[in-house]
Amino acid sequence: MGRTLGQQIALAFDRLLEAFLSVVPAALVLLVSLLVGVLAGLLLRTLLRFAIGLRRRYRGEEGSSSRQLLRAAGLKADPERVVGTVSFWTAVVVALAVGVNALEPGALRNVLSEAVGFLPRLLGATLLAVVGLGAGALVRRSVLLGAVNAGLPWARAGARAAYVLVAASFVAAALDHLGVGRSILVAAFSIAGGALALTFALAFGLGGRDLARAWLEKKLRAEEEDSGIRHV
Amino acid sequence: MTARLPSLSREVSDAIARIGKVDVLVGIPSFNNERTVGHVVRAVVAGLARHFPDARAVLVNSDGGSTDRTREIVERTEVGNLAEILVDAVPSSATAKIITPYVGIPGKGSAFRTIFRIAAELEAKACCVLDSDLRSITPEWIELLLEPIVRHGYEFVAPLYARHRYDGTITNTIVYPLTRALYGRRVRQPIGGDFGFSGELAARFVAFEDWEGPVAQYGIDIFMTTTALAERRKVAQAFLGAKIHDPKDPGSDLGPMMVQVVSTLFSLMERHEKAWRGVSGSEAVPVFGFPYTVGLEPVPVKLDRLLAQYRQAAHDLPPIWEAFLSPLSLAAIREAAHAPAVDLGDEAWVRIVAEAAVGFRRRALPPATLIRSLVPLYLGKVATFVAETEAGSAEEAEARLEELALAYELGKGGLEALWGAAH
Repeated sequence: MGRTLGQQIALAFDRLLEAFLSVVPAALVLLVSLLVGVLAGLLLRTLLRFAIGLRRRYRGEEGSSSRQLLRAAGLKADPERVVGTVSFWTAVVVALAVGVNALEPGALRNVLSEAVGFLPRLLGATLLAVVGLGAGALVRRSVLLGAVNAGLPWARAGARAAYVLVAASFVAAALDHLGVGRSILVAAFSIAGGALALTFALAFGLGGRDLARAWLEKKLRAEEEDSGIRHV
Repeated sequence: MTARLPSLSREVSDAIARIGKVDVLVGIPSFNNERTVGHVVRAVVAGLARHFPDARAVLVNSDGGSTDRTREIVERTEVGNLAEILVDAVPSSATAKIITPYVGIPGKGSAFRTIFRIAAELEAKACCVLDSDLRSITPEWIELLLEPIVRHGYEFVAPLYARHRYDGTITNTIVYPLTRALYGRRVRQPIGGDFGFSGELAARFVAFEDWEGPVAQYGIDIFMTTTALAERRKVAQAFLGAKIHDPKDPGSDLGPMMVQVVSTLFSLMERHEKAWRGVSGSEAVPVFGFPYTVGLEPVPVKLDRLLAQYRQAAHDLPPIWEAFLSPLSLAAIREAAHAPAVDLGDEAWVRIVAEAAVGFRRRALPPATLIRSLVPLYLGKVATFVAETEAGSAEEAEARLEELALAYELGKGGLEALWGAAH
């Protein structure tokens, strides 16, 4: 009995070792791919940073349009940092994908292929979300400035609402890109959009008809709202 | 970079060939000014007849595509009976006219650019430009703007108007004191709109490379004055009396106008850095004409509205201002907002403008955003000025503006230090 149990345990360990050894080449391939990816990413990042630095030296410290674009979106990061990070991770993902392709066909390769195949979509969705947050920040600042300069009391709330609206649209697009809760998203946006339109229609169209007329009249006769100052 | 000259139509080229060379050129930019342009043309023709009867003269109307009778009126208007307006001399020839639409983005600057080009082609010795919505222009304006150039060797003549204390507040709180502190010369109305200049300077203006920016719009006036000052041209002022013009141009809303004027001012600081760094104090600029007191149309100010806008901005805009203003300036803005009547002192205001100029230089925010965010601060400074001078005389108000200008001169060192650190 004791001998049989011992044999069984030894057999199990043998199988485990066998399974482990069968994975080692694949793991080595992936490790080498990762290493190559990291090295390629580092090289790419250094080269791009050098090229951007060189361009900046010739075209002026602060005048690059990419920097202005990032600042307009409320991001303080340097363009070379952003480009460097994106290029580094792109190189790593490409190297991993190549590594997975080089594996022997089998369950492990299928699982890893799916995981690596999902990465570009994940990158795309992340990019969409980041662009959305940047665009939201741009819109928020624009609405805030416009509303404050027009003397509208709801400037801050309006700016925040505009930000949420834009950012939510992009995040929804990102989720859709990932294939997450597609039908729920469509329904949620339809309901929210419809509710918003109905709210404005009731509040402004029925409830505040006179107010709307007065406001429009004031806007059309801008000089009445003027501070009286002649600026130039 | 080489400047691309504005194109001229076949008719204009023919007219230039026919006219040849001229001694004086008067330019009038226009856009739907049928109500006033006839008066301006009459004053110009009478002024040329009275003061420059022997000169070869041309009037250039650079039009922005008027849909009313502006161009027709310019073409048909004659001065009438010269004796009635006490002109003894008979002009050697009738004033030639060139009427043309301008090319480029719509704006006063683009209209001027075509005038500069024609002046350069005609090799005009002296030129002046006049707004087409003027109601107070007289023939003497032509003499006052051109005479210093024709007979006294000046190269640029800025207007000097008698204005109500609350008329021209961007000029009073930003453009005049900053230009004075930067370039060291006291040109009181650097964006007055009516200028005299030599033909050589006109050719210099047209050689500017960036006619796609704010210089093509309301930035043109400060561009002309700054160019003359930075290049150390011989500059004078001409006292023209009151400037009365048509009610506000609907296109001249505060936001866009301030963006165009101030962004031109700030970007010219970058361009002429060598000309202004190291300049301290300021010197007077000679005035032609006979200054006299004028009964001025009062400017009713709605102080409550200015205060409300400033206070709201002080509450809502700090996240935007943080990109280019120091904690010290932000604290001063906050403090001024909490005062019973907004009190934005000179020192704080000068520091804010200096930090905005440096922020503009290092692109802390997109240029238009940065300047739009200054609008409520400017309104706060105007509100402070109104509260301080409401009860006093016009002379006291002018003395208060002189204090502000001196504060700019005192703050110049701080601006230079900030500017240097931003490199």
